[in-house]
Amino acid sequence: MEFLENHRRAFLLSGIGVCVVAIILTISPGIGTNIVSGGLSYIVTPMQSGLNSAVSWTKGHFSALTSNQQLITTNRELQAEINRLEFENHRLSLAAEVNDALIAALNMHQQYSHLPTIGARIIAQDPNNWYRSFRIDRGANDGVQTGMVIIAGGGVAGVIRYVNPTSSQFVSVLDSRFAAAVITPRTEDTGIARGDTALMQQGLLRMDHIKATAQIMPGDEILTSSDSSIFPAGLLLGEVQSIHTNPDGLTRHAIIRPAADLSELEIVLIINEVFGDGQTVRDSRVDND
Amino acid sequence: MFRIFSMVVLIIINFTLQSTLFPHLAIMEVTPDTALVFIVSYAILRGDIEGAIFGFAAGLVQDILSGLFIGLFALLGFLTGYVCGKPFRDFFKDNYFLPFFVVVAVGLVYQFVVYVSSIMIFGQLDFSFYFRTIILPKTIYTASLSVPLYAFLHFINSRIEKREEPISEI
Repeated sequence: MEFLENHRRAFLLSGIGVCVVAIILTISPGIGTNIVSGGLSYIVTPMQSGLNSAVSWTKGHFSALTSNQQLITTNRELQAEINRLEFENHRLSLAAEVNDALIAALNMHQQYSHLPTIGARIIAQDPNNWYRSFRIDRGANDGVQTGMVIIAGGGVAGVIRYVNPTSSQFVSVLDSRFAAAVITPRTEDTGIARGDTALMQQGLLRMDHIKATAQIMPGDEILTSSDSSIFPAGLLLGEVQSIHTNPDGLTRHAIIRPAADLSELEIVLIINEVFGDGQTVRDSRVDND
Repeated sequence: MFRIFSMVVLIIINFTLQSTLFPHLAIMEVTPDTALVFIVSYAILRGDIEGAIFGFAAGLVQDILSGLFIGLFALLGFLTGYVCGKPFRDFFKDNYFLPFFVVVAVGLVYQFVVYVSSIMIFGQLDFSFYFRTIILPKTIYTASLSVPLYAFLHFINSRIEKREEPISEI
């Protein structure tokens, strides 16, 4: 310690130097990060996993005590919902049969109806407020790879960005590092969906580069397009909430509500197949621009 | 040796809590940055050199957990520890409100640098919005926790110092 006191300037400069070198080495993801974080994740992951279970247990018990009346109302609503869904399910299964027959007749491949998936549990959130990324309890040991797509609530929830042996981290659709080429199936308008830190607070994201002549409307579904370098085409991303004309008057942007509810995320599905070239999210953004 | 061990344990527990429990305690969508409080407190208690080393270690763990590139939070922690340790060396360590004001001042600068280096460079320039919704509430929330956390760290530190030099007290 005295040695450091005597060489104060050298200490300060070498500390800054080490950090700057680390930033330069790891700024393109995947080079140096996995070596360090791989080791640390063996310690941190079990702790996060255990603590997260404890937190949700406590939370569950407290809310059970305080919101009894609310539970009764919700239960009644859910019963009604089940009835409605059963009816709808019946109707849809009939439609599916017809659909199968038509597809067989057209000799088309149902390319993504049998995607292999693995389930995973959210164990931690990004500790700072600028990004919205999550850590899940599946890692390289379970076959997870960078670039795999995360599904929750019937829609895209994010993309795996870093993989450790026992856990991995995915960037959610609200995160400003997320971007994907998307399309509206009704009008076939294309655009780039991207996370935005300002909208992230409200659980929304934006879709840029929409032509001024596009027929897109609030309520339209947004699907991933075949132009995307990381997503399979045709996955549901969300629904258009509102459309705004940009100040230049030539393009418009839409505000999208994602199909996956990221505020109450606990279990997610990982599509166990890499569709792009395994490139990371930030690289795909450069491609799409 | 015992000091290093207990600080490592403190950092790991802090980040485990910060990434699991604290999102449930968010007020106005922001979570407290307790790591910053510990860095500032440790620097005040132990001076600039140890403060900088502690800040570097805590920042490195945060870098690894938040998964942006490694080095940004380590650099911020290193500088925070160094800057906070230097002027407060000879301050009265039992003043529990000193860290409150230091955390407010440092927190604003710290969050601003994080904003510039990880948000603004991706083209999101609406500074006043981020100042209102993240930087200011986060700093206030963090600073409000600084008094109990400083007291906690001060208690641990005095125990460790007693253990290191049992005779010098007399």
